[in-house]
Amino acid sequence: MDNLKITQTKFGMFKPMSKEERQEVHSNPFGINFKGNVLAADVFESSKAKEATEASASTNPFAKMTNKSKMVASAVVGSMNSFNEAFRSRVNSIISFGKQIKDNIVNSWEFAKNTEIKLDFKGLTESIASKFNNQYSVNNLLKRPVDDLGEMFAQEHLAYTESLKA
Amino acid sequence: MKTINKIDNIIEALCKHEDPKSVSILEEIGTNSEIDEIREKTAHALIRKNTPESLRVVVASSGKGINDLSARVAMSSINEILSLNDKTEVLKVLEETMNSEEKSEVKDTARSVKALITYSM
Repeated sequence: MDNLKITQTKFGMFKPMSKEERQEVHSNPFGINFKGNVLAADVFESSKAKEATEASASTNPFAKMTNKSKMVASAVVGSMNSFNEAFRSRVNSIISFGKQIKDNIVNSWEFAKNTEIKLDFKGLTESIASKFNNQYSVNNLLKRPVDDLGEMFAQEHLAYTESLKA
Repeated sequence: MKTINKIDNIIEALCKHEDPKSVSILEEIGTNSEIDEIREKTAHALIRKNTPESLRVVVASSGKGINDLSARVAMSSINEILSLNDKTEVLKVLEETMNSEEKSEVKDTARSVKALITYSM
């Protein structure tokens, strides 16, 4: 009985399909989308043209290239072109960004040179004090005697009643 | 600062003030005001004070606090009483009012509020 060797066995069913093989089952008859490049491949080739290519295959070695491989080649070229364009546009945008930053730095430096920095401590303390030393804040009102609060209440109540009537 | 905000702060200060005279000031000016908004704020302050004197003003006085003629003031006063954390003082004052010689309307209101507190506890 012959011994089975692993090297002799074929594991064809586990072999993953290549991209080209997958392209065969594509349903788009007008062009094949390959990495974003639509290839204007004529899928509906006439039988005469096919015969003519078969005949010329014997003389011209490049004619042996199948339709499938042509599409792959054109897709590769197309993707290379698009890569170049994208690369160029990115480089240009980086250059313009750098120029913009440089201009901004120059402008801000000019602005900084011509700006005089002042700190108005008096105004600052006054504004802070007005926030905390509000006569009518609850904390400050609590420090007052009740009679004062009664007078203030009567005054403000009168003022509010009159403002509603007006 | 707006006048109403000043009044708010004065009422709040009187609410927090420990001097017992603050209750009489709130009663005299606040609960006798012709403006609903001020009567409402004063009633809230007196309830939050949570002393027997301040609670008597809003519970046992006719036309003030829970007995106010304005439904908005009366209802918000009842709501403030219900939101008190410690209701022992208010329950005592309500009990007092129910057994006092006050008007029957005042007694009825006190009884209703007491029932509400009992159910909400």
